[in-house]
Order: sequence, then C-alpha cells, then structure tokens
Amino acid sequence: MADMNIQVTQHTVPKKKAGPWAQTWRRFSRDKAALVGAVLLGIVILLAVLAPFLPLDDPNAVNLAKRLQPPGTDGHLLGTDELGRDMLSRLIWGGRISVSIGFFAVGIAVVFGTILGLIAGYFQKFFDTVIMRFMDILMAFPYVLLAISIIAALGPGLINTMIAVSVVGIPYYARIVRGSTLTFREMEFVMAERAIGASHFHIIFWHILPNCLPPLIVAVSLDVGWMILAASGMSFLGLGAQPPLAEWGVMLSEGRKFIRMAPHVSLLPGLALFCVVLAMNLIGDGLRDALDPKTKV
Amino acid sequence: MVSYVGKRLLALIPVLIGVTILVFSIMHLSPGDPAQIILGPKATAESVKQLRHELGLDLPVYQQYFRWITNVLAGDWGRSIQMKMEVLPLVLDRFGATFILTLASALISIVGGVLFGIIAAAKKYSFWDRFLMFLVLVGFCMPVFWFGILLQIQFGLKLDWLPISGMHSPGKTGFVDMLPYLILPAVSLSAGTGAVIARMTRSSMLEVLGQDYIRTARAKGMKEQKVIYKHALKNAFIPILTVIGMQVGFLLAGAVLVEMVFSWPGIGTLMVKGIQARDFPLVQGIILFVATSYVVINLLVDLIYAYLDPRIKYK
Amino acid sequence: MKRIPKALLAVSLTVAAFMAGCSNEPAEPEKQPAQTEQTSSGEKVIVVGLQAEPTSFDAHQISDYNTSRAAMEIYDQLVQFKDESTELEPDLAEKWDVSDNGLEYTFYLKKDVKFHDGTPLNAEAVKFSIDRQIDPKHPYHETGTFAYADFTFGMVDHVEVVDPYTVKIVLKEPFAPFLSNLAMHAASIVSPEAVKKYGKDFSKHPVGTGPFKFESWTPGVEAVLVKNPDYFKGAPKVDKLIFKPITEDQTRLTELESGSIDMIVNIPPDDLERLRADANLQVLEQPGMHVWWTAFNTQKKPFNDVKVRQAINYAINKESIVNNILHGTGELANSPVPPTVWGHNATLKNYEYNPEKAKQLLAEAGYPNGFEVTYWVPESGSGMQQPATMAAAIQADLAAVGIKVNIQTLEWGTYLDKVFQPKEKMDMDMHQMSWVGDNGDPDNFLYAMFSSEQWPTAGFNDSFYKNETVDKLLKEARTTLDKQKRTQMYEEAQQIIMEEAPWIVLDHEKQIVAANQKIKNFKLHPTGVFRFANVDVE
Repeated sequence: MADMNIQVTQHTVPKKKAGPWAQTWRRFSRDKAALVGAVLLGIVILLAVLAPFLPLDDPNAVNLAKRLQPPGTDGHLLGTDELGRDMLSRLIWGGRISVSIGFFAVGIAVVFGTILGLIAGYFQKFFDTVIMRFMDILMAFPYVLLAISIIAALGPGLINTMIAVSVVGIPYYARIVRGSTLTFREMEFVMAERAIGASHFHIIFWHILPNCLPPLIVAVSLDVGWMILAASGMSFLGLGAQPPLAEWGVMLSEGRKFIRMAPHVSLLPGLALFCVVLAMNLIGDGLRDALDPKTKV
Repeated sequence: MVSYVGKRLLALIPVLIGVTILVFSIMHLSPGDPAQIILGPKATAESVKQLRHELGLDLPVYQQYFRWITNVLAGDWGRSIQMKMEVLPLVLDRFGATFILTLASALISIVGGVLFGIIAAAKKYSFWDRFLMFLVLVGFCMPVFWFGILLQIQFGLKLDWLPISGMHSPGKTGFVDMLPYLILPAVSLSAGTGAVIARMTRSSMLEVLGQDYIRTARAKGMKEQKVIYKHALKNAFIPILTVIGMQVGFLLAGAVLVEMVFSWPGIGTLMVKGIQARDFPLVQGIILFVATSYVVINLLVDLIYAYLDPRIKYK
Repeated sequence: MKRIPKALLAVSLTVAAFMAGCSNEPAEPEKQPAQTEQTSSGEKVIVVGLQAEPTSFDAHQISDYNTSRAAMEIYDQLVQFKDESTELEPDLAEKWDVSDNGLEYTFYLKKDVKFHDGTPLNAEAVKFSIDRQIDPKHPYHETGTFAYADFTFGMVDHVEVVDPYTVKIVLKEPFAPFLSNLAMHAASIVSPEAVKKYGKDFSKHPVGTGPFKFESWTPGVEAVLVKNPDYFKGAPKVDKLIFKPITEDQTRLTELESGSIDMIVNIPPDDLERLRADANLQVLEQPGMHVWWTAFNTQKKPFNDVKVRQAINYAINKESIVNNILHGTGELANSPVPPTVWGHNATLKNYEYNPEKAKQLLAEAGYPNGFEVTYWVPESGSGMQQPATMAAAIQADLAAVGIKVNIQTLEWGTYLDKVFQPKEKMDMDMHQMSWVGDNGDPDNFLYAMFSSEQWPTAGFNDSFYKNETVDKLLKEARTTLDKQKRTQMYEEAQQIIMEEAPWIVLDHEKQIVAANQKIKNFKLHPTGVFRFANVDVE
C-alpha cells in the first residue's frame, strides 16, 4: 500500500491570486444548496447550545405511566420514550451530545491523521515506513474490535466511545493527507520555496497543508455522520453513552426494540441525524466546489 | 512485477506481527477473566484458579504470547475456551459465510453506487442529481441494524417474499438454497458503503468532466454518452477503486452488526461472542485471519490499480 | 474501460478460489442414514429459536441456559424433577437408599437401558460420569472444563461400584440438598465409550441415554436432534428438534410470527401483548426459580446503616417497575426466595412505595440532603431482564428523595470481574445481580447469597452481608435432614434478611415461551430446561 500513491481527488495547485479565501467565500455564498446546509446546521447547533434556556421538560424525567406515547400527545409534542421521557427534549439535549461527539471525534481523527500523514509524506524514508506500517496495522484490525477493546480497557462511556471511534478514523486521514503530500512536495512551488531556504515547518504548514484540504473536507463532511453512527453501533453492542444521558446513537439503538409499537422512538433521532449529515454534505460539496473552481464548468 | 509482489508480501510480515502483538495485548490487558466468565458467577475461587492454570493463563503474558505464536506458526491455532472446538476450522468455516455476505454487498454497493454516481454526474444539478444524492444520504444515515429490522418486517413478515434470518433452510446447504437468505442482509449492509461510493463516483466524475481533454472531446462533437463512458469513467475509476478498497475493511467489520441482526453465521458474531467471553485463542485467531485477508485484499486492489493506471510505477 | 472487466474477473477468480477453501460444512455431522432418509412429508419437526448459541453438547460442561435447553434432552440422570415441580422422582435409578448418617447414597439402576451408541448403562458409567469431573487424576479429566462440578459434587468423597447395577456415592459430610443436585445437568450420565473415543470433541459428539439423539451441530446455524426410538421410557412423538441461535430479539419475534420457527424464549415484555393477541400463537408462562436484586455494599458508608438501606427500599416504586417495564413478565418479590421453592416465607411483605418515609429515614440516618453513589449495571446478562431501563427507573425514584445515582453500564465480562472482588479491593456502592436456582433447594438461594462464609471471592454474597443469627441458621439448615426443621430455619432467616435489607429485592422473572399453536402438550419446567419427550406436533 505504501509504495503507490493515488490521490483521492486530483486537483491542481490553486492559482496564486489575491485573496483566495475571499474568492472561496464569494463562490460558496453563491451556492444555494450550501447555504441551505449552513442554515440547517446553524439551526441544529443553535438548538443544542440553547437547550438549557428553552422551555423543555427535564430530558431525564421518568414517568412510567406515560411510556411510548405517540407524537402529538398532550404535553409531549413528539411523544415519549420507553421510560416516559419527553422525546422533544431528549432530541434537543441529545443533539448537544451527538453533534459534539461527531465533531470532536472527526476533529481528533483529522488532527492526528493529518499530522502523521504530513510527516510520513514529507520526510518519507524512516518516518514514512514506521508511521504507515503502524497505520496499516490499525487499518487491518477490524474497527469494531478495536473500538470494543478500547472500551473494554477504558470502561464504557461517552468520552471513551468518542476516543474509540476517532482512533478508527486516524489511518484514513493519514492516508489521504500522505497521498496529497507526496504529490505536492515534488511540485515547482514547493521546490522553489525549498530553494530559497524556507524551513520544513513553513513549507508543510503554508504550502502543502492548504493543498491537502479539499479532499479532507469531502471526507469530513461524511465522517461527522459516520462517527455518530459508529457510536450508535457501539451502543447497539451495549457500549455507548451511559444512561440516562440522551444521545442520538443510544436513542436509535434502544429505539429499535420498539420499532413495531412505537416507531417514533427510533425514527426521530434517525431523522435528526439525517438533518446533520445532509447539512454537512451540502456544506462540504459547496466548500469543495468553492475551493476548487475548476470543477464548476 | 514479480519482485514488486514479493516485496509487498514481505512488507506484510511486520504488519501481521504488529497485529498479533496488538490483539494479544488488548485481550490480555483488558479487564475480565475467561476462567471466571466460563465458570460463571457461581464458581468458587478455587475452581477459577485451577481453570486458569489449565488454560495456561497464570504464565507471564510474554510467555503466553510466544507459546501462542509458535503454535500458530506450526499450524495449531489452539482450542476455543468457550466453544471447546479447534479455532482454525471454526474460523475458516465462519469466515466463509462472512466472505459471501461481504462479497454480495460489495457487488450491490459498487454496482449501485457507481451507477447512481454516474447518472448524478451526467445530469449534474438536475432533479435526478438532487434526488439520487438525497436517496444516497438517506441510505447512509440508516444504521444497519435498524434498516435490517425494517427490511425483515416488510419483506419477511408482511410481504412474505424472503426469509427473515439465517443462511439456509433447516437442514439444507448449497448455493441456491442460500440465495434468498442472502438478499436482505446484503442489501442492508450495502446501504452505507454504496452511499460513499456513489458520492465518490459523482465527485470524481465531475472532476474529470471538467478537464481539458473532455472539453476537447466535446468540442470535437463527440456524443455525450461516449464522452462519459469512454473517457470520463475510465479516469474517474481510480479514486473510486481507492474508496472501494478502503470500504472492504468497513464491510468486513460492519458485517458484525448485520450478522447479529440476521443471525448470519459469520465471523462477526463469533468475534463479539469471543470478546464477551474473553475467549483469547478464538479472538486472536479471528483477528489474525481477518487482518491477513484484509491486507491481501488491499494488495489485490493495488495490483489492479497498477494494471489500470500505467502511470503508477512499482518501486 | 476495456481492461476493467478483466481486472474484475481477476478479483472474482481469486474470490472464488478463496471461497472454495472455506466452504460452509457442518461440524462433521454424525448422520444416521435411517433417520435422514425419511425426510419431509410426514416428519414432525420443531424449530426452536434460542437467544444465543449453545456452547457445548457435553452435559458436564454446560454452564448456561441456552446450552442446557438445546442439549439436555440427550441425557438422563439418576433422579429427575417431576413435571412442573422440583420434587424428585426416579429416572435411571429405580430406587435408592440413604444411610442414617446421611453420608452414603446407594442407587439401584434400571437394567437394559442403552446409550445411543449401543453400549449399556451400568454402575461403571455412573462412576465414570462423576469421576471424570471431580478427579483431576482421572484419565479423561482433561477432556473438558467442568463449570458445575464443584457445585454439584463438591461434597462427594468417592463413588463405588457395588455390582454392575448398583452404585454408591459417599459424601465427606452430610449435605441435605444432595439428591436434588443429582437431578441437575452436571449429574447426567454420559457414555464412557464415547468420551474415550472422541476425547475433547465429545462436546460435539455427545452420547447419552435420553429421548433424543444428537445428529449435527453447525455452530452459528443450527443444532439438530433426532428421536431415540429405543428410549427406555418410550419413543418421543416428535421426529426432530432443531435449535437455531437468533441473538436479536426483534428478529426472533419476526421469525416466530412468520411461522418459520415454532418456539422462542426471552420475549421482550413490550411485545408480549401482540403475541398474546395472535391466534396462531400460544404464550406459556410459569413462575421461575429466579430473583432479581440490587445489592448494597453493606460494609461501606452510607450503606452500612440499615436505615439508609431501608430508606432506599421505601423510595423505589417496585410495583411500577414490575407493571410498566416488565409488563408482568416478573412477579413482585417479597423475599429473596421465590415462591416456587419450598421454604419460601409467604408471610413477608416487600417494602411499600413511600418516598416520605424514605426521606424521614434518610434524615434520621444523618443524610437529610441525600448523597451521591455509583450504580453498576451490566449491559446484558443471563437473568438480568432489562438492566439499563430498570436502573434508569431506580435512578429517577432515588433522585426524588435526594440521592444522586450515577449509573455505570459495563459489559458482562468486565462486570463480573468488578463485582466479584474481595472486600479489601471492593469499591462498589450498589449493583444489580440476579440468580436462577439450580436444584430447587432454599439453601441454593439463602446460604449462597447471605452467609458471611460466601463473601466474594469465596461465594456469591455480593452485598457482603453479615449477620450472626442468619449465619448460624443457614449453616445448621445445610446439615439438617429433617425438612420441616429446615423450613422453619429458612423462614426465620428470610425475615431477618428482609428486615435488614441488604438488597433491593425486586422480582421473580417468569419463564415465558411463545410457541406456534400446532405444538401440543409442551410444559415449562421451573428449572428452565425444555422437555420434549411428550410433546406432539399437529
């Protein structure tokens, strides 16, 4: 795997014009779909941030007499779950947790993956061999086992679930970034920088990293959703967030038990997750197009 | 070419050694004692201690590792602590089932994903593009276990078209008997992967379609269909292949959840059960086997690239 | 484009080669041609959906319900429990004597009973079946790991063959429940010849004397038993039993409702209503030998104060949990001993739901503002019912009286490890646990869980409960042979235990089986084992 490098997307070096970021932003803001995505994500984040100030029921208030009420029931706009807790409140509070899991897990994976990928791709030789071999080991290891083992060792819980799913993501980012790095380090503009004596650090962070971003952004846009789903898979195996914490992944996997008589219990968190994934994708597509003007014909 | 393959095979050795060390330390360092679990909460401390001795668990971990690895190299993969059976035949048998499931859903997701991606790219920003990409996102968002249960209720119970779970009718074997059993699990497993492939196909097609030589071809008056299938797809296929290679790993692993929902007798269910019981020899055997097949599959994918793209050189 | 099909062809070829290498063959089925030829048409088959995969068909190595449900019809024991009760009746032994000192048990075996492999059942086989498990020097001791050997035969000194059909078991000390132990799965009599022939693989080539013979076992797929036409109590009516492991509850239900399997266990309480309304199905239930509780660490603050323990018991609405979460799949408990076991003290009452009284007791104990504790909960586990949901309900009830409960869910393997630590290493506040009776004797509930001799890691007293009167009563009851005296002692012990509340005793889970209407004459047994010898299919 290590000796052949195929870029995931083949894009050329951005032209060195004045204010590339401003240009990107201008292009992005003209993309209607991307704006819809941004608004959607904005709403989700806003709801999550404002959860403590909204007039919601306590998301953990149990009422066994009113279990599994369908949406539209008095006092429970979106019904109740298997312990009679208010679904609307749990969805919004759950959003706080799930969206942060998604972003943090991807964030950790991207940061570590990118750094490792840059080092491996730029310095090559020894670093490349050691880092990429280790990434191969991680990738060859079935991720469910990796996650289960991390959780078995650290104990279940939100933070550990997050660590587990993000460790799984690291090799993927490392590979993507390394691939791009290998291409760009041979490009004229990098050669030129090196010729005038720029430091490695400068070259890596100012010239190579920005060029690695477009494929990263596409990957990230799907991965936030993937991380939430992976966390949900963990709780299907019984290793997710701890009760009574509301979290979409747990709600999805616990809700499957009531799929016949109260489908809303699992459908609603699924829908919420869908909104986030949709928004992230629209934004991701818009950003990619904006960063890489060539694809716009 | 031959020396390249040889080199690549050599490079697998440290990876696999790393995998064995990793799995061994994870299993042995995580809490939980196979002797306690197998004897259950009702066992006395004395009998737990004796069983630990019989299983060789009271030796230092590194000694246990060397004992295990030398046995494995000699072809003896040990005996499952919980199932009392020899590990290697058990793993081979169950891996076959997982492989069939993974292969079927890889086919579904590659064919479906590439097709959706091409259509969406060809009709860029049209209704069909939006609709297909929306559908793809819906597929991506559905947790396999949830989607699987819905499929069972719809196609197994209500419509009664397909069997609900298992791999064969009672007491039967054979490929034809298996086919109807394969459909639902394969479809629910392919949704997520198919979505990723569809998106990647669309985006790399768009990329290629924007390049100069395509414009030239169009300017020369070439038919749009010919442009897409003859020129664009060929060049777009390489990034798509990369994703497919990566997704195979996810399919192998994602199969765990599908296997649990559909009682598919694959290696995933065996692994989860093994981890729960801290069945060291079994889990180690499974991981070693799965990791080996994963690296071999990726090697094959790389060889296919090399075959497809003459720009890639062997070092 | 032209090259791609070739490449794909290459992949598919490799794949095909791969698959040929790992085809899906059952674990060497021991096919009896006579049975397999008369397929389809008139054959009576029952397909049972199990919750998990059986782990071994060697009766001596069984340690869980799933396995015993699939395997126990292969075997018989010296004595057996009567239908629907834990009273004993003869099985392979025609009759037996117990010496006056309670140390020697002599069994007279039925003659002309044959194992499925044709070898005769005799005193040697009985001795072999017991010695194999308890004697580390026995030549066939290495053929398995015997989880229940200690429990079943820990008190046995040795086994003597008196004559070919008479066998004597000598105990180290009198042990009142011993005869009940002999009806358990670990006391099954296996064919010595088969063990010698298959060694460690006896677990997939089991041979017993029971109403059904083992045919094949494909792990993860199914286990098949066929009827034993020469069964010494008469051939069973059903030709074939097929056991399939189906882990996911919803899948198991859908399979039953669609009619492709005939019988399932472990039914989620919420789905029970629907099954009851289904005209094609029958729902059978019976009180089981089970108890579910939450243990306090009685050696640690604040639970070393009996008032705190009582307060928590008052604070929890147990009835609501049983009715709303368990939907009547459990029966509210009034003692740790289930009513199905003799010695159960029916006069006791569980703590009623009274949050006011709880607050008052907490104030008296010096915690007017409550406190904060950690509550360990397994994510699943045999007999644990709905651990997370029940924990959440308890958490909410305790929050109402000012006690902040932090739930920590653990995977079963880790959980057992954490719960069964010696007192010095124990940092537990409270945790959930359940117990399913083995031999229908109250000793199996009370001594095991409340005697201070049974503190972990020696035993199962997971609340580290210690009360001298209780200790004395339970110890004496073990060695007393007079059942009436024992009953009195157990009743007294239960009263003290309920008063001192080392646990929140919640419920006794019922055994519930849903089956297709075509299955006739199936009866549940309190021990949880399935009996198919008299079952018929319409």
